[in-house]
Amino acid sequence: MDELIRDAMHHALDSEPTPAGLRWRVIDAVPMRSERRSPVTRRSFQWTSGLVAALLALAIVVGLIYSRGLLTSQVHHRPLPIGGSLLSPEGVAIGPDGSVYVSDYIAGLVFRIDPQGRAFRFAGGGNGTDGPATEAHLQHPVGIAVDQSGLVYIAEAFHGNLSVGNTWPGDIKRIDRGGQISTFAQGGGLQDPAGLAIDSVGTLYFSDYGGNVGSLDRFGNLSWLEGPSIDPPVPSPGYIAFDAKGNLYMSDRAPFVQGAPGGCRIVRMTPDKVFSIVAGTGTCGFTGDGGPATRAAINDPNGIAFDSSGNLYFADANNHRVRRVDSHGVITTVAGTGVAGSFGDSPTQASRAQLGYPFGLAISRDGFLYVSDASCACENPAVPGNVRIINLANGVITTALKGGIPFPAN
Amino acid sequence: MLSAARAELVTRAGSGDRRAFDELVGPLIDQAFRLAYGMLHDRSAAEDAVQEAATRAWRKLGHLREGTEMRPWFLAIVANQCRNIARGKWWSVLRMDAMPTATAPDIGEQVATGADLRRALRHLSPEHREVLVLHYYLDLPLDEVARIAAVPLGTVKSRINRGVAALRSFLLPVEAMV
Repeated sequence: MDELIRDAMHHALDSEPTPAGLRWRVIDAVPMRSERRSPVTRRSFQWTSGLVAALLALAIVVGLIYSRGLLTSQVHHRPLPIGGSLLSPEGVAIGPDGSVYVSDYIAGLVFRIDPQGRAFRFAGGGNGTDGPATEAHLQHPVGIAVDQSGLVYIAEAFHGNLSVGNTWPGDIKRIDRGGQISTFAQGGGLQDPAGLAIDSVGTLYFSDYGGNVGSLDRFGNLSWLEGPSIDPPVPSPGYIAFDAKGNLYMSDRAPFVQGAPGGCRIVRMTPDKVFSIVAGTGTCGFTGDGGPATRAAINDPNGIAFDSSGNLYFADANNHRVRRVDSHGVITTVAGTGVAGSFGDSPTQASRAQLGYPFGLAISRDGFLYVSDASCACENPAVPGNVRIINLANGVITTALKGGIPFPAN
Repeated sequence: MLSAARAELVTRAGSGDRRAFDELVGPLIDQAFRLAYGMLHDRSAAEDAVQEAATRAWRKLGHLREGTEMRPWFLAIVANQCRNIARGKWWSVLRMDAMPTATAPDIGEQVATGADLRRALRHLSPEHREVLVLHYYLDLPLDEVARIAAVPLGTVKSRINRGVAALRSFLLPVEAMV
């Protein structure tokens, strides 16, 4: 079997031989300086040079526009340096005081929208580790959770401290009520944390994109659920959420092989660790609105949230929609037309508005659904995403946090 | 400690001697590209990943420690760069969209085509893809794969088993699997 696989791998991959002269091009292009850099612990950007260039360009353009007073109706604070504006919204969480927290995967920031609707840079943008959160470096923040006391947890993918050698697992950060950030969990098999959710007794659950789900008690002690894999298989758990009954829901994002079990489903785990599928067929696509969610095709589910009636909402990212599974198990589209775009920036019916790869979701106690909407930023990182907000009472969508505009530190 | 000769190379490379850096890293560029292509399935992205990894490697020369071997050290940087790219949803969304629609393999097919296997590999998680490419394509021993992937040996074995299981339907006719 080993030889068969080896032969097949060569058959598949040898068709793209190493480009001629790559060695010399690579070595020549390394930007060396005349002196060796000292082995300081300053973190390095993990982005590609293209993304960094895009961020620089974005910051310069925004800075120029702002300095000319063209955005005075929207910006009331002095512009921040690079990283002060929303670029790629990811996770969303709502705190006990009603503040909305949004992570920015590419910019490495977390924003806070206070109950008055003012936006601040809450974490990231610096080079520090422990200490003030706005002076810390965040490496690809993904999921966010806020406990009842206001502690904010952030899943950080691929911890970027290069000085530790070649092991760069992700970690989970915690920010206290005084705005001080620290590493809450690291190691113990934690590789690439993605979704975060807190149960009714305050235990933090996390998904690890490598295929596991685990939990952390208030002291940071880590334990894994049911060994290395979950049955039924959840190869790539993404965002997670608890319903009011204590059931844990997981987005099963991507299948290993099309047609194989797993992927493009929402999986539920009861407190007794009984698993079931609540949406999706295991085949990615778009079908089934108006029918049973378990017979509907969904495509790369991401954020999950519940309203006060127990209806489940999830971001159907590759379908550019937010969909709902009601208490009878019937699935419908709540927002998005299926065409990626940003129409609906001004108040309009969510069913007519366009979304572009929505990721994180959260619902406030007063019935507003917040959506991290990449707004097609994935196709052009220089085009910032937005955070959209949907009034679930009347279905009207608008923009809660606009990308590309700098916000002050918290 | 580093051998005297290699320590000298590291010192010179770190001081900006491009020829010395080439002696250290240049022989690994071919394997680095094959690893990157195996993980990313995109020629241009693979070249970018190798370039970025080489730049990072130069920056981190000062962190080379006693007993550190160049190949796992550098390939780990390449693998991490690829994981980073593959994990970036912005990238993966584009790759998924760009993919042709896959169909289940015909039971009657005897052996998968190269395109079939590449498609199957693309649907593996980056971590599973990484260990399969390192072990089966670059022919690296499992302990070196573990060092590059920065996970325990048992995890490597587990990932290989799961990865191989996922690929089996593309490699064998059904009757051969039972």
